[in-house]
Amino acid sequence: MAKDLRSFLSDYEASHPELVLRLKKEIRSNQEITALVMKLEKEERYPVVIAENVVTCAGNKSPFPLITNLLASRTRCAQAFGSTFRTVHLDFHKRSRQNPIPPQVVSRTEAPVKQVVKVGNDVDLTQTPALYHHYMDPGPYFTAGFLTTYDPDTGIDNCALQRGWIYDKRIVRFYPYNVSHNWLNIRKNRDSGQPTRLAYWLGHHPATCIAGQSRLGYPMSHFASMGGVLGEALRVVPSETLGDDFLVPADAEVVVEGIVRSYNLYPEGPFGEYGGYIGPQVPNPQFEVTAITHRKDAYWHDILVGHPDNQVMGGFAMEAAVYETVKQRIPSLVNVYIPLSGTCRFHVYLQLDNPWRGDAREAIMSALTVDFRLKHAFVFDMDIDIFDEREVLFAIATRSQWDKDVMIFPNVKNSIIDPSATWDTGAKGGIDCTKAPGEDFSELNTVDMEILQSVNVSDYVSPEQYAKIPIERM
Amino acid sequence: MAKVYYLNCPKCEFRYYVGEPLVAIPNFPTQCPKCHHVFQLEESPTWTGPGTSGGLATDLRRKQS
Repeated sequence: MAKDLRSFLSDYEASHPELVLRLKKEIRSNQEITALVMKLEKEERYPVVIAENVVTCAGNKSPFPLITNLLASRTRCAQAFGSTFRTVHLDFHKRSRQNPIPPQVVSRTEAPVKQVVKVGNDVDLTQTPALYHHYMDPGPYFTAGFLTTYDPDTGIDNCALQRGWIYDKRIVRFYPYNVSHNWLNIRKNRDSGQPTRLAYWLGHHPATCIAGQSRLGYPMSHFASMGGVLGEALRVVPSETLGDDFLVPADAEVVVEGIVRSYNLYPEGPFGEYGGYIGPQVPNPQFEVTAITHRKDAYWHDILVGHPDNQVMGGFAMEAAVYETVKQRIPSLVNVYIPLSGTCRFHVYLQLDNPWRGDAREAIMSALTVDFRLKHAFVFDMDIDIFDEREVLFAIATRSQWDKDVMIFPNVKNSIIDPSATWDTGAKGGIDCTKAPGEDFSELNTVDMEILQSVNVSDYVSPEQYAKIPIERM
Repeated sequence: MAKVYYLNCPKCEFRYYVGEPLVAIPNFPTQCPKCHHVFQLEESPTWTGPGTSGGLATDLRRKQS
């Protein structure tokens, strides 16, 4: 039995029933689901949300149930491939980069995603529960759809989460960001006067989705990387309308096939983006939908962009890449964390074990070159828990002097999603928050270790009384 | 994304913004995300881009050409 969304949900719901919300009550795709998840997020609760009765943007009840917030929890993402909160990025790196598994081609009859096939004018994407996420969006969007293209020179696949506005029943305006590998493939076709074949596929095992974020060279197969993270070959199947050489995941919930026939540009957006702000309307291409295939009772997978559902899983690949790059130059690197507070893109925390002079600054410079989105790097000692931002801020406050510990690199490549940057350039920087190597440094307030270990709150306070003490966030 | 330019739809008055890549293409239309009306930037009754307050998108386009 191949791993897919259903196998994961079955296991996860059995072990964590409290973390799967199945909504029976009718809910509208127009911002209501976003509002619900935002309220849970405010309380730091990240359950999987399955809406079984979604009213579409067209006003009809969708035949598809919708699943969202699947990837909002770092712990859940880690569990999806047998890892933990603190080691997920390291395990992800090993599996996606060091152990790729080539995909396995199966026949159409073996592919659940072919249970329903609609081509041409039988396709109507307005009947899907695709969400209208934020107030300035122009309509429903693909957000969990992995846009897949093939390099026309090598035939190697590339998958990326790239937004697509469902403009009409069979028209999708999409954003192939101009440094993406999908854009390189599209540009090759455009420059040679050829149409571009592409497909969105959505709804798969979380490990597959996470692996789809792998940072690979060009051209390198995401399908192989997905197999590595899944721990088994990703099953793929020929498309319906794009040729037998265009393969799509056989165990996905939904596949939408299409063709870019002209490379004209159209207004697309505004759209609430991963940085937490609404990106402006920009010119982008569109494609004509040629087919939709899906399971009989398919889930429509949505990712709430600009919220943990989108931010958390995108951070693993960057953490893995930072670890790989920095570790080669600074062997004392122990761990890396790209926190949610920086949208899992802009801040990186580096932990060094007994760094020597210059190591921290070298680590900052090295880390900031890994990805254009990484903006601020902070380096800490081993006694600071980089996964606890109270300790991180404490170290910034007490172990850095900004006349000598701050590094600033002006006018470098930056994310266009960062509203404080000038279009695609801006400043990067870092702070060395480590104690000065080889010099005496004040000790932390603490008590003798044996006393700390021997005193237990439960020896003095009853569980009932303890449970009543409110938690206060300061 | 720093450069966002607010405008209002001349048909439904919805306030939204466009980015520099759109503004930089001469005669490229915008589409209201709320009512989907397609129009030229110059038709917006308001404009926050370069030029005078409440001026027109042509100020920016002229400046960039």
